[in-house]
Formats: sequence, structure tokens, C-alpha cells
Amino acid sequence: MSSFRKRTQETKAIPGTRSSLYNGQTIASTGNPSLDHILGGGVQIGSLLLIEEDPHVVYSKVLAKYFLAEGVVSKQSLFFGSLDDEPEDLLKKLPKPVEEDSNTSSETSPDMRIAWRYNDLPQVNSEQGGQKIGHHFNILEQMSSEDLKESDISTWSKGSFSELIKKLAQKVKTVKEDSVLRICLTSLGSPLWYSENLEFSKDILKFLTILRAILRTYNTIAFVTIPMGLLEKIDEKLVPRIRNLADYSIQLDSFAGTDRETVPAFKEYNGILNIRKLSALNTLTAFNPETTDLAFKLRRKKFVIEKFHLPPELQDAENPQDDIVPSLSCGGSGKKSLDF
Amino acid sequence: MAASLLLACGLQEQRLPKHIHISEESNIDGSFMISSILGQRVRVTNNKTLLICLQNNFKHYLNAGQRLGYNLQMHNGKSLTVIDIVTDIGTDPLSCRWLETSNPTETLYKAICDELVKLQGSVTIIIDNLEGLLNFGASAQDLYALCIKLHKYLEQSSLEHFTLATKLNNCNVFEVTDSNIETLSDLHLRLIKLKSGSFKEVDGRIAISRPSMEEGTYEHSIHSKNVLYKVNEKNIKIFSPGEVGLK
Repeated sequence: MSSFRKRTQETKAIPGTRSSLYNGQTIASTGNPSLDHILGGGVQIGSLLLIEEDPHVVYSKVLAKYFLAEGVVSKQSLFFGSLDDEPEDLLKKLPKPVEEDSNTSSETSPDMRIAWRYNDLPQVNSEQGGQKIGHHFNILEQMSSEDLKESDISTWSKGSFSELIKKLAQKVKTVKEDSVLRICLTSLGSPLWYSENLEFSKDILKFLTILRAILRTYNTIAFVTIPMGLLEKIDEKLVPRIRNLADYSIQLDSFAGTDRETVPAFKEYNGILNIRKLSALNTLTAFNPETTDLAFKLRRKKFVIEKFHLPPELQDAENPQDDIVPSLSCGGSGKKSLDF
Repeated sequence: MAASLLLACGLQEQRLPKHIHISEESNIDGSFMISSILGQRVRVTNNKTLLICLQNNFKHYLNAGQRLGYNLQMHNGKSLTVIDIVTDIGTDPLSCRWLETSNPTETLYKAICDELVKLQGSVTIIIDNLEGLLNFGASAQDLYALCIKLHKYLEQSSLEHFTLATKLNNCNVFEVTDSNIETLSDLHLRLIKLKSGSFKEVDGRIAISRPSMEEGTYEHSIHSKNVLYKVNEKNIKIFSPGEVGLK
């Protein structure tokens, strides 16, 4: 046995965090394994994760619940602020943790007798998330009120940007060094945030700059959802400026209410997930995901992010004659009348 | 570790141009550029560096520097002075001097001057990034005025040599401001996103332009070139456009 030993600093790990495999930085789970996977294992401590909301604010809210639920299960301090949602109501609907991923039991399929050669091949699973990190949650069931009572949760639901900063500044000072504070702000910049002095754009940028400075200074992570579609209409320049202030920016492009909802190619998914920004914090280079062609779907029990692929067959098998394409020759076999 | 980048940009010399301006387009991470310049400056003997942190806190530059093979902690307080605005705001977000004023550029100018008084010889001032001042409420004119005032102050000072390095993020959003500051600079580096989308082997393009005026004449020309870059975990690779090594 070699006498060589790698010299490592023996520091006490913060509960609910671990060291990143990619850059060695301390990371925490977002609560959703698929999202963790595309962010390089989790969210780096001191960073801001921005979720660009879908128009109907369905899926971004699901992710916010995952983020808060992970904090409760990991026994971390939580700060939840929103003007649109009643914090107490949303906290009651946090998903319940489950012991094991329900997928693992379905992976063991019986041996194939006819196509036996396929037995040796690995199963194709386009779902993002290889490593087991954080916890698994069942969004169908709700977390018990006892779990919520035990955790340190602060809420904020009324006031302006400056009042929110005051509350945040008070909260971060109460967090111990060996703990992490999770800050979750939903629908930041929605019409309820507009100020009377018409300086909303300046206010939101200043707020995010201060929030980012707070995150960098203390053991905190922030999950902020912003209706970018609305902000884009107020000021086009706001979108890139807000993205620049975030460390990770994920856009949820939902199909609901659009033409794509009925397109056969998209029928397996609820929307496209665009990675807008992954920045390098405390390191030189940012995490580079395997693929950026990602789509999401809300299953019965969980929110899943998958590698986007087209379905194996797009043709309607019931009436194949409808799909016959007229050939160039005059003696085409199609029954449809020619265009000329 | 960043030698090829510094060489390509003409930043390997002991005496750098008086004003280096780095423009960073949206969705591009150009923090490696500041880390590379910082690493080069702290290694130069008899050079004092003043780092103004508006984008990240000092911890980021320290960690990024270690990846590039230099330790800022060794130089901190000696040849390196840091004005960590991010940490100042994070520690006291309610009554911080940077937030109390309507014009933070004035506060920054005073802070820089206070530090420069203590320094002698060759000095490098690195401001990362100017957009942070706009977020605190400064106007585009304030930014331009800050650069001009710093130029004047440095020219009139008794310093042996000075270099001012500024970086502006989202330069495509602040096009007028960016081009105004660019006119003041002696070396302009623009980090451009690849038009063809994301690529595993290349992160982006650097457009390098250096205006030159021949002494005694009114002839003015701009030397420009483009290089491609890839930021790895511990180094930065530079390629010429169309280089054979790219697959």
C-alpha cells in the first residue's frame, strides 16, 4: 500500500450540502434530481438560481415547492417571500419526501425471449439525473404539518423591495455558520411589485444586486422566479440585465395555450427547458451540461426534465392513406386530386 | 496557464496600455479575462494593483486565481489592494456607503483616489464591472465621467506608469456607453458569443483592437484581430479562426 495520502482540508460539512464532483465547490440540492443534474449536481452555495416563469406560473411554482421541501427535509433555514402567493398556503402544499425513487423498481424488466439480444443492452432513459443527490419527493402527497413546525421558516408577503431587503438582512444574520439559508422568492417583478414612482426597473435591478451581494457574503442560496415575459414588455433591456445578475438562469417555455400544444412531436412534454446562463462562481469555467436540448413534463408524482427527442413514429397509423404524398410524376398512385 | 491568452491580447508585457477596456456581450462569462490580467499584474515586480470588485467578491478572484496558478492571498495587503464592494454591501445592505448615495461613481472615485495616494511606482487599477454602478443608480454619463476623471487624475499623478482596466458586461445592451468608453481606451477587447450557437471546443470569440497614432503625424489606424477561446478548468486555450485543431 502506498504511503501517499492526498492532503485535504478537513472541514465540517454543512448539513444538506456536498462537494461538487466538477469543481469541488459546496453545492446544495434544488430538491429536484433532474434540475440538479443539469446544473452540475446542485446549486452552488452563495449563488442565485433564476427561473424564468412559464406564462401560467404552473411549473415554476412546482419547482419552488421542491426547493422549499428540500430545505425542510435537510433541516435548513428557509425564507419565503411572495406578493402573489400567500406563503402559508404554499407551504402547506409542499411535496412529501419519499424513501426511494419509484423509478428504480420499474427498471427491472423481465427477460425478453424473442428479442433476447436486447437483454444485454442498457435501458434507454432520457431522464436527466444519474447521481443520487438530495431527496425525492412525491408531489401528489403533501408534507405533514409536524415537519413544517419543526423547521425554521420565515415568510414575507407585504411591502416593497426595500422592506424585503430589511427583512432579508435581519434573517441572514440569524443563520449559523454551519447551516444554510434557502431564500425563495416567487413571481418577483409581477404587477404587484410595480411602484408608484415608475422606477420599477431601477428598483428590481438594485434589489437583485443587493441580494446577490448578500448571497456571496453568507451561507445562502436563492431561488427566484421572475415573469420575464412581462418584464420584456416593460423594458427589453431588463431581461439581459437580470440574467447577468443571476448565476443560473433557466427558462420554462410551456406549451400550454400555444400552437405547440397540439403538435404530435411535443405531445410527450409540457414544455421546453432552455438553459440561459450557467456562470462560473469561485472557479474559471462553468459546468457544461451533456445536452442543452431539454424538455420537461409534469408526471403524476414528479416533475421530470428529459433530453428532448422526437417520438419514434409520428404517422397516424389508423388511416395511413391520408398521409400519401402526391408524387411528381403524372401517374402518381395517390387518390387525391392533383394540384394542377 | 493564461499565457497564450495574454500573448494573443498583447497583455504579456511589463507595461500595459494605459487603458484596457473589456466589453462582454450578454450570455458570455468573461471573468476569466480579469483573472488572467490580475495574475499577470501581481507577478510583475514593483507593480501595485488595485482591484475593485463589483461583479464578484474577493473570494471568487482568489479561487479563480488559484486555478490559474497564482495566490492572491500572498499579495493581498502588499502589492494588491482590494475594494470589495460586493462584500461591503452584503455585510451591511441597509446603511452601506455605496447605496446611500444617488451617484455611486463619486463614492468610487473618492475611494480610488484615497488608495492611490498611498501607492507609488507602477499602478494597475482593475474595475470589474462597470454595470454594477449602473445597477446602483448611476447614469451612463456618470460612468463616462468617472473614466475621464480617472484618466485626468492618473495623468497628473506622480506615478511612474499606470494602467486602468475596465470591464462592462452586457455591452450590447449599453452600446453607446460602451463605445464611448472604448474611444478612451488604448486596447479594446470584446468578448463575442459564437453566432452558430454553443460549441464544446470553443466558448467564444475575442475581437482585439488597438488604435495607434504615429508620433508627429495625424495618421490614425486601428489594428484588429480575432481569436477564439476555450476556458478550461485550469487554463485558457486560444485558437485562430479556422485552425486545424478544431474538429
